Amino acid sequence: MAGRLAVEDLHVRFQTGTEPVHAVSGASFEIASGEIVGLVGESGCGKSVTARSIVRLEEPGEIVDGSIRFDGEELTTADDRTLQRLRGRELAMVFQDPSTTLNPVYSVGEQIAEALRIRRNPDHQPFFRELAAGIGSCLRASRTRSEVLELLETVGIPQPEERIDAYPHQLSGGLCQRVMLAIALARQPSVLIADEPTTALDTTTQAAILDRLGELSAEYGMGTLLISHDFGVVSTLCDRVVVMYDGVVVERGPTDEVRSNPSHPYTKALLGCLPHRSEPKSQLPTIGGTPPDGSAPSPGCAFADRCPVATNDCHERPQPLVSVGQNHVVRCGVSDARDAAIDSMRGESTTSASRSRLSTPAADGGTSTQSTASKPKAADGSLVDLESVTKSFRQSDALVDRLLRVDDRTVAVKDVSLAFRPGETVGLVGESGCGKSTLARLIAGLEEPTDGIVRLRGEAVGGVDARKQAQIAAIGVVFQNPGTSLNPKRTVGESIREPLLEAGWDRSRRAERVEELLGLVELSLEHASRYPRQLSGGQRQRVALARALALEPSIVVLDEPTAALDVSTQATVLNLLADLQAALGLTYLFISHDLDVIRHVADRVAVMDDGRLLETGPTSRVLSTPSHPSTQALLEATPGDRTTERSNPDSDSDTTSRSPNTR
Amino acid sequence: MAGVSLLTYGFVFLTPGDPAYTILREQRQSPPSERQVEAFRAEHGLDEPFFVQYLSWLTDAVRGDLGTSYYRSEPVTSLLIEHIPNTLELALAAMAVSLLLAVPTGVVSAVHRDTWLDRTSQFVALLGVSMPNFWLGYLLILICSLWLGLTPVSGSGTLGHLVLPAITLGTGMAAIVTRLVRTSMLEVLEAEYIDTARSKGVRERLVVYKHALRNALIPVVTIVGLQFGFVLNGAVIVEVVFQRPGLGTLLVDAIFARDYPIVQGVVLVTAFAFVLTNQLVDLAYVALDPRIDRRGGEQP
Amino acid sequence: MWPRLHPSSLLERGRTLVDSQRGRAIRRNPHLRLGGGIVCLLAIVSIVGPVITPYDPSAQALEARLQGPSVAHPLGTDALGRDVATRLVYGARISLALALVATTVRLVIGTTIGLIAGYGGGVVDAIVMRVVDIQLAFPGLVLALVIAGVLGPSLTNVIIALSVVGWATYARVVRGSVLSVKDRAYVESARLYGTPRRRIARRHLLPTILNPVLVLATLNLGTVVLAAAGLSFLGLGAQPPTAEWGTMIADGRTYLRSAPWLITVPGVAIAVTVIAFNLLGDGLRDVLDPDHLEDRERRRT
Repeated sequence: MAGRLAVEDLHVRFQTGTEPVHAVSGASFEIASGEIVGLVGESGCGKSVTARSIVRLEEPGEIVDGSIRFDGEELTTADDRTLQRLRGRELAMVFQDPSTTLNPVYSVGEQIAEALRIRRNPDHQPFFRELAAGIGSCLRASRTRSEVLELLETVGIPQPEERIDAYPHQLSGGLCQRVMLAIALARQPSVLIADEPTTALDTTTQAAILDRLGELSAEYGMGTLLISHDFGVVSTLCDRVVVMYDGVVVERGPTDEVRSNPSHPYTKALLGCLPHRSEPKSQLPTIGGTPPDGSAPSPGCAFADRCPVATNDCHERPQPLVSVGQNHVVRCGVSDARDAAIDSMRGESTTSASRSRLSTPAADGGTSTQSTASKPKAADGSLVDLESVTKSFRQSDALVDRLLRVDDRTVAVKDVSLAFRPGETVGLVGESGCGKSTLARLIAGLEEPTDGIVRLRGEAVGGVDARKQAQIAAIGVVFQNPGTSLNPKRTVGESIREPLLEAGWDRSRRAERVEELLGLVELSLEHASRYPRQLSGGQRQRVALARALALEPSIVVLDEPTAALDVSTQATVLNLLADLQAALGLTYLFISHDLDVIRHVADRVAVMDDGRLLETGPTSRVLSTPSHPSTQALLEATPGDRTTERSNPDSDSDTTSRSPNTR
Repeated sequence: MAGVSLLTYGFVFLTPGDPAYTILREQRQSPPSERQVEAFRAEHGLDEPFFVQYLSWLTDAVRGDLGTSYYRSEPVTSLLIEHIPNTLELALAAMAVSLLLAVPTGVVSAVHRDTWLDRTSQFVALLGVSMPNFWLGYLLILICSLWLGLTPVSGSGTLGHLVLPAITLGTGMAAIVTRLVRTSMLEVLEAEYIDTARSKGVRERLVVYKHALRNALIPVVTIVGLQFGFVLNGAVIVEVVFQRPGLGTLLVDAIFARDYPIVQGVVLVTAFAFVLTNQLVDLAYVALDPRIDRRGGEQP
Repeated sequence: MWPRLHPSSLLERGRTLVDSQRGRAIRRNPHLRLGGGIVCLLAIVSIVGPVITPYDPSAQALEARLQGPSVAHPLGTDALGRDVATRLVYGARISLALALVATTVRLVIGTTIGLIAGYGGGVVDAIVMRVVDIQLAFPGLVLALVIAGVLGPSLTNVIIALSVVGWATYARVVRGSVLSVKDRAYVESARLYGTPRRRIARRHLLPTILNPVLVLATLNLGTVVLAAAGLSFLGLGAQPPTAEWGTMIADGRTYLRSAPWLITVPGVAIAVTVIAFNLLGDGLRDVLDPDHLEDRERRRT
């Protein structure tokens, strides 16, 4: 199998309403058989479009320039028949979200079998036989059935006989992704393209799928393109890495080379942003400026506007490809930039600005800040105290069930006791559905506990409607999704003003406070008149933060505040949170599924699983020597190059030993 | 169901104008005496309080006795049985016409989105929704029966009698279903599993008919089920236009004659037909969408 | 750069900016332009037409009965010698007014009930939605027919019948969009800083439901015109000699062979009106409600 895929100078454009969006503007790389190549970049950098263009699913975009060759065959101009054959036999793709990529109305067995049938004869797909195959849900042909079973086993699905006739909705996300993998393998492809295959999955599942992916590509000798926004994921698995920024490949080279010696300023900045690279609680390096929007392809380097070491030349002329090592090339002509250390890539301007701006309100509004900070101290000990809190929900909302009281209840939070001391950051971790968010809602008062007591400054509090104004003011909440946390029909200023209005502040004080708050979250006054859709995700999250801080709370509940953000944006938000905590003496409850983030921000960590609190303790202890087996499992599942840092010799040798026998 | 029966009975009860008086006057062509009115009321149980009337009507209805027509002095049940087949025939034929027209048009329209094909079918669909069906009926009579002499003008019985009414009733529905199939298809064609199918090398025709259409039909089935109400709505008018002796003509005549037992009977049958179609829709759902648990109820 | 502006004037700036963007979208949408144009034309005709026509819509002129289109009678005359064009224009008045009134009544009832159900939740919601389901499940025209028939044939009763029948869709749409926003983080935040329910409804819920309801109402105008014409055709609406499109078709059917224009003209008028409202509604939907959900969740579970 000599499948070699080469992408050269690919340009893909989207025609939207008024102006074309340049999604990919010059991507070049290749994948040899048996090799795993990682494609990394932040959201919107064009990595998915590149991947989809390879299998010619770029619609509604169009390939305007460049070439994609597979074994010398040009794909950009291939006809439907050729494409069918190549897709059916050579190029397989696995997409991001397994809950939407499997057809809900056909059994998984049938969907795999279809791929097998196409593999056998891609040119002959009898219309009515295929339709009939879809209707008869059981696979009858025993030969195909046994092949499907074999594939299910290969991708690591336990009890394949039971699963073969299942429908996608009956399987978990992890199993669905394995089915997608089986569909891909059914074609015995030469190249496997995996577009963020594990992003939608839980950490433990993610690790298992990635492992299997690595094993399989070695076993089948497939070339693999693994696309991810997560450098950690890529570096555990890939032989080589391709870094994309704003539609352009800025750097490519062997994984170890790129990781230890990143040469493009963007790669340096990207690596620097990762929380686990830095000391806990330290200021994270950030990338200054705003992320690209894909509208204006500049003649020079795409990153020049945000690059701290950019020269005039960078803005005006395309940068040359420079070789900085074996197979390691970078699109940057400035040698100082290439040699600069990672730490020098932090956006100096923003951090210093934020520092100075932060100090002003602390000095001006010193009285208010101090008063909030001093209150909790007087209240002796904990600020918020959960005492064996339990929350259960009705499973059925049906009227009849409720009247008959036959409704079952599911328990979201079970007997949790937790205290928050003033000024500390408590990290709450756990897989999705473990009850993290419900716990946050209980503290905020959006839910009332079924059992147990929530105390605020020693006083038992109920739901939000029963709380006193001072108690309402004491807790600020930032929700996960910046898309829904602001009313799209109200301006930023109006949104921030709302809590003040409810608290009965007069007009001039409100205006003053809004201005002050915008300053606190490092937004300019102009933003007050903008609508949420005119803001980026990071900016929206800042506005949400400003609103949460409006009434000078002493504790802020942050429910996955950075989960929907890119790494570089995440870094700036985390820095901002740290600054605010220092300046205002805030207490944080920081909920996240990302252990790296928690490690960076939290003083103490609480681990939840299935509604229960498994363990609490100082961050360093819990995350290095966990006492509970589930915590341990969670830790081990986290991908990334800290696998080696944790001195796990097995996994390290595993990665290196695989490469020789595949080449 | 019970709600509908109570509602209709209630409406009829609250009517201004005493049915006993009106009917007797028309029967005799002169104002009836007080005694005659009393007698009529007693005969038809109109002198009881509302709930007694309702309950006795309901218990009779359960036993299949819907009372006697004020006018024709025939049991309502036998009148209904006599008229139902005509309407059912018309409704089924219209459904068939509309589905045969709408599903292929909708699919083609969605697949060739924004081409002249799509625009034309979109426009025809808009025309179809907007034309009053009684008017369309007369136009068809004018063209097919009077000018071309192809079909009989009115009445019922033969297949020829069914063609025009079925087309009249079917087009309006076809237009709605076409638009629905189109939007549903467009949405499904955007779904990621369609990309999965394409990336497998499935040929385009199969992508559309095997992978997309079945998913797209799921919401369509619901609406088509609800559209059955539209068919009954339309049947009333179309039957009047083509003078077909069906439930519609029966109802309209009864309303004008204030023959309330018949009105109540027809309404009850309609409601019953509705409940029945909803059950059928549920069955179709189970066949189409494996996500619906076979014991009923959706899984999380 | 600019002088320091007061926040509220900044606010004004933002608002006009967005409004002008939306205004442009409205002006650019072809459906809206065509539909709006026809509706305006109809409105003008129904207002101005009766003033300029030389004929009385109900005055009979038996010597001039069943005349084909001519200069004196551009659309011919009917069986009683009345000018069809004049009657058409008067009919437009009735159709438009009736559609407007019935739709408004439906909208008000439906929106209120939908808000109550969506925001009240729980048992209230369950009961209200059951009623809505019954209402939706039942063929509307049959019910309207019964109501109008029972109340006695007249235009007012047609309005009552059509209003009673049609509110359920609004209730459902409103409830649906209330539910979709109710658990949004911004509404929860509003609860967190102690906003009373009524103010949450006014500040966050009403603006969100406004657009889908507006779109629905526009599309509904067409449906009402059709339904009203249908009822009149059956003899339950406008009574002779009132000029109404449905009644005109009903009168004309006897002369189908000899005077086909008698049914063609009002039929075209109805179709054009309904098309116009539909176009307007589709266009409005494109502009106001770009991410609208198909009414696929109409099914009860």
